[in-house]
Amino acid sequence: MRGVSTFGAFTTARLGILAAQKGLDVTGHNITNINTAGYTRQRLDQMSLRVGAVDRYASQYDAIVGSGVLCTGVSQLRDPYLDIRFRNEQASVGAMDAKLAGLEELKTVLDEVAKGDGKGGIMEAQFNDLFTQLQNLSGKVGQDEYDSLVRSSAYSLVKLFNSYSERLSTIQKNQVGGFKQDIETTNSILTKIQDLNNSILKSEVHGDSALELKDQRNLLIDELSQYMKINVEYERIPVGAGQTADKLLIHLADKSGASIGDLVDGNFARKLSIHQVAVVPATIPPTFVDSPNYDLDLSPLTDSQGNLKTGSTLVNLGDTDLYGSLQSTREILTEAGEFTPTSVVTGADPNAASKRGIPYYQKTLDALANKFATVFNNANTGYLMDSDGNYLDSTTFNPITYTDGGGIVVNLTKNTTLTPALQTLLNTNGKLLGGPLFINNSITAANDTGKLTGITASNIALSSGWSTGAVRITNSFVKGTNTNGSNSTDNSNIAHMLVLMKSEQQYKADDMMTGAYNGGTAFFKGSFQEMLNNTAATLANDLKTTNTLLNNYVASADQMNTSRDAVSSVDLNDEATNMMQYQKSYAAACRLMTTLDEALDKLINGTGVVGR
Amino acid sequence: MIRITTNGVLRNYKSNLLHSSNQVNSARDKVLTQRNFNSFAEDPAAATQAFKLRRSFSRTSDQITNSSDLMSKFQSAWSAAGTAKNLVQQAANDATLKAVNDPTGSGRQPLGKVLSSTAESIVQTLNVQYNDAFIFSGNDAQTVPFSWDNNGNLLYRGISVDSTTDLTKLEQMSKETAYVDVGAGLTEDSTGTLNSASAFNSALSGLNLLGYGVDADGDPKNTVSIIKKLSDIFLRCDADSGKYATDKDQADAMRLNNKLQDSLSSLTKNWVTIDGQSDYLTENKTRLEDSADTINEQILSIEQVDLADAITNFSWAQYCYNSALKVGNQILSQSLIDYMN
Repeated sequence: MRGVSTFGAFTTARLGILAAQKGLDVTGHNITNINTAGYTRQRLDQMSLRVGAVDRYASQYDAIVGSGVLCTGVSQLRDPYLDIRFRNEQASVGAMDAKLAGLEELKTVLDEVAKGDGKGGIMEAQFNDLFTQLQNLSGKVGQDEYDSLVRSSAYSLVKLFNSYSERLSTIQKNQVGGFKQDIETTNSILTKIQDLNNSILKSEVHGDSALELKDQRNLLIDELSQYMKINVEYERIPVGAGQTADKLLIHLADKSGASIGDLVDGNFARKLSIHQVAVVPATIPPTFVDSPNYDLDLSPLTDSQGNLKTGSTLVNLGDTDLYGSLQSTREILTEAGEFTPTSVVTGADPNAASKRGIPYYQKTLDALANKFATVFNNANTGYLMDSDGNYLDSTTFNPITYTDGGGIVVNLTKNTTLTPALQTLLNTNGKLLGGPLFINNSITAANDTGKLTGITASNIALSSGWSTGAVRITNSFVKGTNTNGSNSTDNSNIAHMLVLMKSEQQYKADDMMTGAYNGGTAFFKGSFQEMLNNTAATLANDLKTTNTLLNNYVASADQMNTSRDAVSSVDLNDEATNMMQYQKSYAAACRLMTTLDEALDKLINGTGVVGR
Repeated sequence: MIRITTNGVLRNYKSNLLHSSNQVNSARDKVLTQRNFNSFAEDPAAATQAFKLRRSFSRTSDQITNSSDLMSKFQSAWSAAGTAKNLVQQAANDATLKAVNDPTGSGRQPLGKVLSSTAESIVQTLNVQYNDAFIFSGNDAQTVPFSWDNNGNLLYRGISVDSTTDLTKLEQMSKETAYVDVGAGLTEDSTGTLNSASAFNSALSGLNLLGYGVDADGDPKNTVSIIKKLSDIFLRCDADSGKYATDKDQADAMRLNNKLQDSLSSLTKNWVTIDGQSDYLTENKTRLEDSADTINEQILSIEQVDLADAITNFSWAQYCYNSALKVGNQILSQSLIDYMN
């Protein structure tokens, strides 16, 4: 006969009290951690206890009763699939957030909407002012003060170019600083995860499920997923004595989500660093600097003591391997859009020509400054000609002639295509008028003509000739009737400059660098101001798109997080219900004990007293 | 059924409250700045359009300034040419009345002096300046247009207006141009030559006004030269009898007198032309001002908010935000724990 135990039920009551107590403990733990970041709600795992043995003779009349409840552990309520989906969205949020941050910084320089006096922009308004000053000069040629006003306006414009360029360089420096900080943060996260992996393994070996440590680790993995797209895996590994524990594996993933290499392997982790390249020309010992492409290296897998994992080697990440905030910051730092070298488009990144970061905006501003300076230098420099466009000899003032391919002597005119020989003829015999207005002030040369190459937004300056008044705006190249120069108020060249200010120019990447993808094709055709506007509009459209995408990804990530909350987060109503439930069950178990006590009291003290 | 948790509700609430707060902020910005957009990214198309219009507005303002300047210059030119015309008219009348039709001829020699001084006056009148530039000097306005050489010949920028050897130069000078942008397009052809119809030629040549060169009879075509030549003839007349010094002088006087009349009508025609150009500039300025007004209206319609609309939007955003706050207060205070006792 089984289960006959006078005091066994006391154990049942005791286990009931214990379970209710534990339940209240877990509820208390949940309630108090409601505001703990990353906390996963916990649940008391219980099972019904039945202690028994097999009797030698079984009887169909036996009633087998269990012996109460056992608390088998505390577990977390978490859905790994939601984690994966959330972290995928987080990579996109990080990517767009970092891109937006970079673009927002560029916006502070290039977006001229609602800026400037009269809210008509700053550089845009300065171009308008230059146009106005040229208009004024065209009606008042020969009056030096109007030439000076054009010069003052042009001076302001070149200073704006310098200032914009300087500010873009500052943004570049800030972004590099931010990028390095992000790399350090990422490495710190990887180190913490590595340390937590160690601690969790030790705890699990000792029978502790280490739930709080896992929460911390999950929080770090969530954080890591913003910096780079990752795939997370858990592997059961034996830890001896028949026990197993989870080993965390984090793989680096590309934008499509495909794993491209390991990042964390249990207690081994990699670290990120910017690829270093030797400076050219080489020094002894060699000096290394950050790669201009800011590509990243992954160190071999090492444990927290610095021991290498066997077979693990350093990995140089490809141009498009990463996806997340690190990659977006890299792209902000390196992408040059239409100025991307062909070798990059045909090699590392086929889409590079349509990605635009700080270098693109620097180069478009440079292209604008260069085109503006070149066009005006050409317009202000030329040779004396008659009213029919024939270049004139500097001494006789007769048309310069040459023998054409057909053996006929013809005049050298402004429409003649100048071969090198004809250019030499013109240089030798013609009368040079005017001079350059803008120079590259980073070149050391004896005179302005030696400083005309490589003009960019950062180095554009007024020529020393114009600054000192030795060169002025050339009003005309047409010889006057009764003078050896042009007539005093002939404004034909100023009218030409006015036309140039609003005429279409072609902007090609080849003008600024060699080897650009499709560099010979104009990436924009328009006036100087239209080019400036186009640059701002390109940035604005990129900003708008990125902002929309970010909002979408944030909404999606929020939704994923809410779904995770639905599983993992503490809810006060839940906990209140549990509190009541455990309190009642505690009371019930206590009541069971007093009931048993009373019953046994009857048995012990109230039975067998007949005749006393 | 999804489990709606306290933290989930709070996260959603925070996110929505932030969104609502952003909406209020954006609506408030629109009311405060009275602008539809404060960055390029808010509305790239409208911002591009606004910049284009502002550029047009700036160009049109420049063209209005140019037109105003030219109007003043051409009004001065018209006034000076009118004065010159009147002087010539007077000279022509005097010459006809006293020199040709006067039977006694007593007034001929004094008339010679008067005509000489009239010639001086015409030259001085046409050497007028506007804005530190000589009006009738073609496109060499820093050079005085008319002067006299030692022999009493009239020079235009150093070249005798009656010269036969420098006729090509005189022709060139008479065709000089100084084009100014008054809103007619200002374009160049493919060779870089300005399309003359796309700008206004502001150069006024004294040569065109008074004439230059000599005619088939060898007489000067220039009005002042004719007057000067008549003056010389009259000065040579006998002081008492007024008799011509020679028969040739008399024949010359008769012929030159007729030519002076022709010259006067040519001068009048040129004077009227200047008046026409001045009128054109006035009308053009009015047109440009209308155009500037229209452009300004377009800029405002793109950039400026409809204040009623903006305030309504702001009030609505504010209302939504207040509601969100109110709801939040209720969300946060309620749970089963509040009802436990």
